[in-house]
Amino acid sequence: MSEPAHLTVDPLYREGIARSCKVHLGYREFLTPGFVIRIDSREKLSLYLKLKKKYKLEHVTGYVVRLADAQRVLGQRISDTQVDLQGRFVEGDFLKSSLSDLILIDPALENLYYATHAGDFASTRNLPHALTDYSLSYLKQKSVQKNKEEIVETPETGIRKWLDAKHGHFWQELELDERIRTRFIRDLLVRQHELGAPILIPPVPLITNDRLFELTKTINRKSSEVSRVVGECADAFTFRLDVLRNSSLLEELRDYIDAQNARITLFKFKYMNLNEEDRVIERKNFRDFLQTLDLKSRLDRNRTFMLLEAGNLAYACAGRGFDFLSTSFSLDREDRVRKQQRSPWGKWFDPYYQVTLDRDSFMDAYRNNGSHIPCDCPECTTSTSKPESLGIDEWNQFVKGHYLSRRNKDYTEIAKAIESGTATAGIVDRLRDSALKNLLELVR
Amino acid sequence: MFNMSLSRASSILSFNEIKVFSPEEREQYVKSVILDLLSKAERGTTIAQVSKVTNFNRITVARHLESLVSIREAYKKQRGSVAVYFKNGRLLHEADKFEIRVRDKLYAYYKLSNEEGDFIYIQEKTANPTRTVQTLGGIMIDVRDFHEFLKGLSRFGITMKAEDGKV
Repeated sequence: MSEPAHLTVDPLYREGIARSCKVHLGYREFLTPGFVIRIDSREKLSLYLKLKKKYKLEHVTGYVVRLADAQRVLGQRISDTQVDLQGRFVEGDFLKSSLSDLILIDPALENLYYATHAGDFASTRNLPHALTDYSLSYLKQKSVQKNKEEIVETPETGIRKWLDAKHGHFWQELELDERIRTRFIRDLLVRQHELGAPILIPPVPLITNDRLFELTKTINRKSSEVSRVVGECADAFTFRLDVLRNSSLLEELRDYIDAQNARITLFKFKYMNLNEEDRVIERKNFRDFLQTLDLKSRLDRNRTFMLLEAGNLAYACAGRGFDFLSTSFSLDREDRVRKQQRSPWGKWFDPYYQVTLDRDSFMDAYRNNGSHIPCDCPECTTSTSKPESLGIDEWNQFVKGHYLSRRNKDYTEIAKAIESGTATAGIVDRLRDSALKNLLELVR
Repeated sequence: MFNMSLSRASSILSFNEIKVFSPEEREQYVKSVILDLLSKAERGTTIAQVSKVTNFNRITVARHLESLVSIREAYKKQRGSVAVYFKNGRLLHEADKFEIRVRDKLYAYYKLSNEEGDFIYIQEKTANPTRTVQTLGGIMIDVRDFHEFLKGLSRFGITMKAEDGKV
């Protein structure tokens, strides 16, 4: 019988609500604050493995792949793993990474709610029938609506109305039938385990009302039971930004976090941008929430917290309440813009303004800086090609490599600053000069 | 003797829910739950008590408890006609534990304490390349006897070496 590895934490340093630690999970060891990149294609995974090998990237602790992308991104790699004549695994970058990195397979079931992603599960193999059926019926309904020329994306009519009803019905069935629910949880946790995830994420819904919040708590509790036969299981919550205005729900969330013992708790706030001018109440409540997480990690040192799809909070909240933070290569922006509307030239992450710049703006900054790239990350300082001479593919590889090595550099600096007791001052200084000034309220 | 909070008991999967597991997963789940309960019952527990809290069949509980005793994860004391099961000691200190890897085997050494005294507990595990570990068996040696045990072991090793030169 197998015994899943459990997560333990060695706290290293603390400064205010910021902390750095060494997190152990079986043979794996991660330094926090840890950055986890979201990967959605095989090319990005290859690039990640290449960069990890080239620059070591101690604070880039792993990657997260959405379940709908996982077969495409990881499936082939896993089946390509070779054994030698003695039956030992042949060491390759992927195998080494799969035994040392924090790999998360995110069910991302909030996508069942959003019209742009609800069809994602239709073409994915080895998923519970409930998910593929949901996606297929959505695609069918969408084509029916299209034929009727009735696609009006308002809450009252069209596909949105159909999706709201379908979403409610889907989760209601799981709420009422414990056997269907347990099978659904088991199948998704086993799938994550098969894909090599050392920490499993419960298949929770996007919380749009109190009922789904209760269901999320139930699924978290049941997942932790089911995971006894699979591996270490996290608690997970996926919210919309409006939850930060709902003080009673936040209070209940605090109570739940206090009562539970999950060693890692994941939060996802969909499409959150706390830098917007009018998000004053949300910022205040988020700051209080960070303090709750800090208090919890002080009382129980083996508790860790992770923010998925952190977006522009990836710098301000590193080590502050959250031990691990994750964004995609483009700061989670691709979710907001349809693929067709995107420029083929990837955006460059400006470390000083903390925002992404399109290629033209980057070229301006580059020329104004005396034809030097205005960044001191290893990828930028060792780049031998002039940015203007890079073709689309090379450019896109360059901006991704820069993003990862930049995050590693920032997180390494934050960890050192926590050690020397200057993290808060350092982060305040950096944010003050950036385009994310409003996030200062979270830090000060 | 046995104190289990209601909330803990309520999160245990019902019989109906466990039915979705494969037979192997079911065995593993039941073992894990029982081990968890044992570790919480400092003064020991009985088959009937575990069965009551978990709603698992008494025969299933008894089989798992005996299996845990056989690999030294638990030990049992006969009190009249009732067998009371205890989790096999608690780690004296986080540092009182280390593991060595020999080829595909993992040997874990623990210094444990229970009401019978202090023990050295050696577990044999297999290290699975897919990052899970399987316990194959274990031996408990009273700390007071450990020196004698080592002497016996090395004497046995020398005899083996003399016989075939393999050790």
